[in-house]
Amino acid sequence: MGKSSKDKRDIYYRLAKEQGYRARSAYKLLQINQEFDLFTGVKNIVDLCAAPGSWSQVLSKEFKDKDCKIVAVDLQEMAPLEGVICIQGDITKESTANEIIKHFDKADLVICDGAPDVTGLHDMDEYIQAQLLLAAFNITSHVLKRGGTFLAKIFRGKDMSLLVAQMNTFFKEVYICKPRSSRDSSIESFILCRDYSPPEDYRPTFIDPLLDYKYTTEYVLAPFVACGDINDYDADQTYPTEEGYKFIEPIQPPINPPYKSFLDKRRN
Amino acid sequence: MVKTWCNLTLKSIKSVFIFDSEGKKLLSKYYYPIEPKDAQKLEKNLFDKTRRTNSDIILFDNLVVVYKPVVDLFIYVVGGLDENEIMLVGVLNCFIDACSNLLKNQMEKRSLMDNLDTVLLVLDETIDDGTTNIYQILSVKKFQLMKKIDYKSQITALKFINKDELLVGSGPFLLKINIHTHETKQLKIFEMARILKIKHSKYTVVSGQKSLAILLDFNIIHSFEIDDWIIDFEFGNEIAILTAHNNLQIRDWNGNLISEKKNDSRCMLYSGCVYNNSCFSGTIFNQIIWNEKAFIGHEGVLFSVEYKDGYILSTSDDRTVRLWNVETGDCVVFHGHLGRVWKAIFYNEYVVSISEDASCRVWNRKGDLLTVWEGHGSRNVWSVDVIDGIVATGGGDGGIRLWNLEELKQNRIDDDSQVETIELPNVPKSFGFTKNLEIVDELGNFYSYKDGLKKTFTDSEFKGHSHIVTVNENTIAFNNGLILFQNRKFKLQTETKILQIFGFEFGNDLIIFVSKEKEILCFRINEYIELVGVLSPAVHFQVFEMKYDGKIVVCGSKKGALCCYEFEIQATRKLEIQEYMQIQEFEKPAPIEPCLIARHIHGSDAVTNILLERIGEKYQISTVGRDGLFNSFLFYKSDAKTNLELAVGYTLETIHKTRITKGWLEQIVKVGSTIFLAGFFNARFFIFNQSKNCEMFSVNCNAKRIWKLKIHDELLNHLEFAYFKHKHINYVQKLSDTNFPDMNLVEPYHSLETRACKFVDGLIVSGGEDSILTFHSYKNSLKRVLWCKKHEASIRCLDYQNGLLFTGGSQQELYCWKLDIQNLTCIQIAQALKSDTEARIMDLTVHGDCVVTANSDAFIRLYKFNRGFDLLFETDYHHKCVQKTRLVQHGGLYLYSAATDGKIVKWRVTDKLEFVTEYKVHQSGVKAMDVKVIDNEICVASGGDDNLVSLIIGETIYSGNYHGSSVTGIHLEKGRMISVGIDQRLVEYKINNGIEFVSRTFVDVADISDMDVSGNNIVVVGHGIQLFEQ
Repeated sequence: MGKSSKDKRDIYYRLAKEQGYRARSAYKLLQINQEFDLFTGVKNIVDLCAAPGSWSQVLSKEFKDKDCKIVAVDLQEMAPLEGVICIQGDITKESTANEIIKHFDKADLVICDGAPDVTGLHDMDEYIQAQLLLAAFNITSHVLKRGGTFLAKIFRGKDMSLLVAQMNTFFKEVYICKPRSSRDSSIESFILCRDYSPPEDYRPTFIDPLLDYKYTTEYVLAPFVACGDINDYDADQTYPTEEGYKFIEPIQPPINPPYKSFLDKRRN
Repeated sequence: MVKTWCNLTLKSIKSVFIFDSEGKKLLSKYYYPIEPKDAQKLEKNLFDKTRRTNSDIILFDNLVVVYKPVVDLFIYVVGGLDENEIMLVGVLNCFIDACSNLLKNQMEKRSLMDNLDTVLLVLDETIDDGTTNIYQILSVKKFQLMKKIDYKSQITALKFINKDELLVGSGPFLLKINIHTHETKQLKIFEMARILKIKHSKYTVVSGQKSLAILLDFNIIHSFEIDDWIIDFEFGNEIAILTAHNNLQIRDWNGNLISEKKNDSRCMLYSGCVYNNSCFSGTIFNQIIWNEKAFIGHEGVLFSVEYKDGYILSTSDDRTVRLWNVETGDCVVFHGHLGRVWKAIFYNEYVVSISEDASCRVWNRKGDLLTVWEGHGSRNVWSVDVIDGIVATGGGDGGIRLWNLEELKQNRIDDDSQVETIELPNVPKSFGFTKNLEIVDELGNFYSYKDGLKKTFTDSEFKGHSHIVTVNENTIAFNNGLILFQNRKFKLQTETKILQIFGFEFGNDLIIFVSKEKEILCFRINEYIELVGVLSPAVHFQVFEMKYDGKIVVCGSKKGALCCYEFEIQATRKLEIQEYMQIQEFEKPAPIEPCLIARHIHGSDAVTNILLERIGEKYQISTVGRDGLFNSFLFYKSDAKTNLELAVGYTLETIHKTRITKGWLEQIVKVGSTIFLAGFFNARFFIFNQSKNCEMFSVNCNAKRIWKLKIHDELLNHLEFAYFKHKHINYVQKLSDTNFPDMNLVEPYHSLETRACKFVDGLIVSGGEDSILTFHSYKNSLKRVLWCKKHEASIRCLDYQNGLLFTGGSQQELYCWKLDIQNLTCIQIAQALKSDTEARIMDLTVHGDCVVTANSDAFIRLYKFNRGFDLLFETDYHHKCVQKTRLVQHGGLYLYSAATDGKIVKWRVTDKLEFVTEYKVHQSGVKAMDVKVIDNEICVASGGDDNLVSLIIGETIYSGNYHGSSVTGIHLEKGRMISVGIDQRLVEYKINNGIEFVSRTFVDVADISDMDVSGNNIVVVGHGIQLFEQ
């Protein structure tokens, strides 16, 4: 298979490169926004686990020349973006929360597209993703104002109903969204939580972060919303490459993947 | 006698209670006299004891208690100590099901209290004065959840109890397998968790996710769930548990928390190890943290950490294994794995590691790689344990293999010290195995080698370049048209050079084929010699290999072709063997032309060896070649023509095609029922066990050209291998008398995700990402009976009709197979043309001669099938990836198709597709669809990416939300529907003017992608397979 193979099989990969996005996930945020109008009336935004920065890119374009603040947080260094304040920090640390708050009082919207490298053991991957989501929510509970919105990646596996039940206690509305740019065959979805209203006795803390719920026989389901126009490109469809097509290198290849030394060693 | 009666009494239930989640009693009923004070005490103790645990049965105060939490209720059934617990569980389930039914599935505190009178009535119906009403149990059976029959998936934990018995974690099930007899016991440990760790001393302790269970003699005695993921634990009077949030919890055997130590580093863990109440924590930030100390060096997250005698062994995302000296912090890095390394363990002076690259590797402590064991499909070995030199590995393919660590050095020869060099005074030219190793040298000296060299004779006419061919105990030597056999020499012709000689033994006769440039001569040699046949070579066909069974001759060429002759020996003229016989002295029979030629079966590389076997009236021909392929064909007389270049009357069908190596394959050896393939990869000679699918022996010898192999037994305990190196013959003998158990302890399932499954005449056929079509029998348990490899890329869909199986998948592969269940053969007979190899066939459906495919390039394609696929019509009406297609006959043939836009379209099928109507059913993709004619009406059931199940009856669309994730399998029948989804739930519905929920069963298979139903059986596939009975 040649280089163009992925371009044919993954239209959004091709589009992202053509339109200068750092990753195809940019379309996911655009399509969720299309459905839920996330950005209207929003001033302060936090983008967690932001690298390589495609969601921040969307925000940066959307809020260009508007009076608002965008803070992007990641453990790794991220290439700078116009209008985005980049913080390098760990989302499980209080210092990071404090640094975010320095830039504004409270955020209206917190988004998180972070995911671990999947191992292939589904239970494990789903659990780690759930912990990442809870860590993201934990820091969010420090910085999000009442009535605010939280959007995060979730794996729709066997224990999803636990997270849905848990988010239900903090937010008035919880939806599961699947943008059309996210592959049908992928377990990935997004949990959209609106109208933040934590229980009266809830005190955000970094010392004992939230744990996920226990397994119960209760089965809580959230409404599902497919996002994006039905006439948008189909992530599962194979599109032929048009005439005059040229392969474009990805804008931002992975920075320091864990197998970097391994590759270097193999090359020699 | 009294005792017998005692067991038979039906007065068996002692009491029944229901509590709410706070422990408040809602209902209790005693069937024996008890003081209210005692009753209260009993209830309280019972609730305290059971509220935390996850099991469903305990022994308590000389009572057997079975219980079940249902939403916010806890329901208990109590029996005497000698009561049969299965009976009690039956009563419990029966009662719950009956209540649940009456309360319209709202089995919760509120509706129970609202309908307490009905519930009491049900209780009295089920248990009459302590006597269970068995008829009642039977009559509500149909409302019970689906019964789990068998399961195969990734093997995530292994632990030897002793050198005969192995504990295996397969999903929520713990198996105990005797590695010699394969006797297996199975026990379900957890409701929803997968077993990830097993430890064994007197007790067996098993953990998975947040659950932990303690077993004695393979019976659960305690089990509980904690609030965090269990990374590792240490078992003694108390249990020390390291959690994913890096806390060390000390708990008692009932799971009560005694103390908790929060480790300073508040970092998530992927792995870790508890040792003497201190933690070696493997963090997601690439470090190992122990007390105040951090071991830094890994470049990816830590997947395993082990500690032993002052050393830490760790594995990581960065493809390395590292061995750390705890004292000094010194680290040895083991490079070699080609994927993420999941785990490494210590064993004596060795380190054994397992990886995503599907290999298990053995190293010494300096980081030198000693061996590589491969045999778990294409991805992931998940678990490993070792005892007494036996290594067990559990794969992502669901298989368990045993490897011989003791014979490590005997099975992998790297060192010249393990090789004997046969010292000859002159340069040897050729050799071959009889009982001994027969050798001829450049001066025509013949030697026999066995425990020492013995010169047999010298013939100066065999100076120079002589060759030896051995046939069983016979040695044939040839040199320039001169043939020597049993001290008798004869010369055929001097003009044309003999290229090759092939010999075969039939009774007392020796048949030899002499391959020359223009002809192949066949002689029968006994006390006399006769020329019995002449074969005429095919055009552009240089014979490289030949096999003969008395009826047909099969030749392989130097350029990848195969050629067959029909040839039976007719007696001609017998002549006394004399030296220098001329061919003219024989009456030359008319040459025989080939009856079949198949080109490029090994590309343009040499066909190096052939195995010819007769199966009834047909032949199975297996070939290996220098392209690294192993092929199997069926060869028989027929009147059909195929696309191969052959005379009318013969068919050559591909049964099997696998690339074994990127190097060469050189030889097939069949011993008993085991097929060994020998070949070279780089400088290494290897023997691959095709039947067990793994490499068993290798020699680093750099001697591709001239070598000979003799395998003595099926277990490969005895073999001899000789090769040329630096003008000497090197000789390797492996001789071991160990009684090592069968390497394949558990047969694998699919090594990657399964995408499609179907019940087919008593078998389950399945296909998936590993591109292997697999057949399982499913009576009582799942057993692999047949597998075929023909697809290059993944299989995504299949359908079956009247002995013909159709499969489709990635790279637009669409095949038709002829399935013969009685003889267990499945042969590919036709293949559709491809238009774009990037496109995937998502689904296919067959009815009569009509085949319809759903394609990722938005097309629906209609084929007429008549020994081949004729494309009649295609349409891209959906403009989206088409995901499902179903044909249905109902006053004409109709097609339903569904795409990622959530629309289902109905078509009338003629020689094209005529649009009838369309339904907008789902928000996004349709991932499951079933179409049936019920009560003279077409009904369409579908499951979507939007979690909905829908049912179209007439023009009405009913739908409901019962799944937490995509619905990927659906089955429709009269009055009933079953669906399954990525959320691992199997949901059953009644159809009665809409969809009515009946039950929900947890499925242990992750990433579910298909389901099929046949009679009472339900099969669900995904990352594994599970069989249910309803």
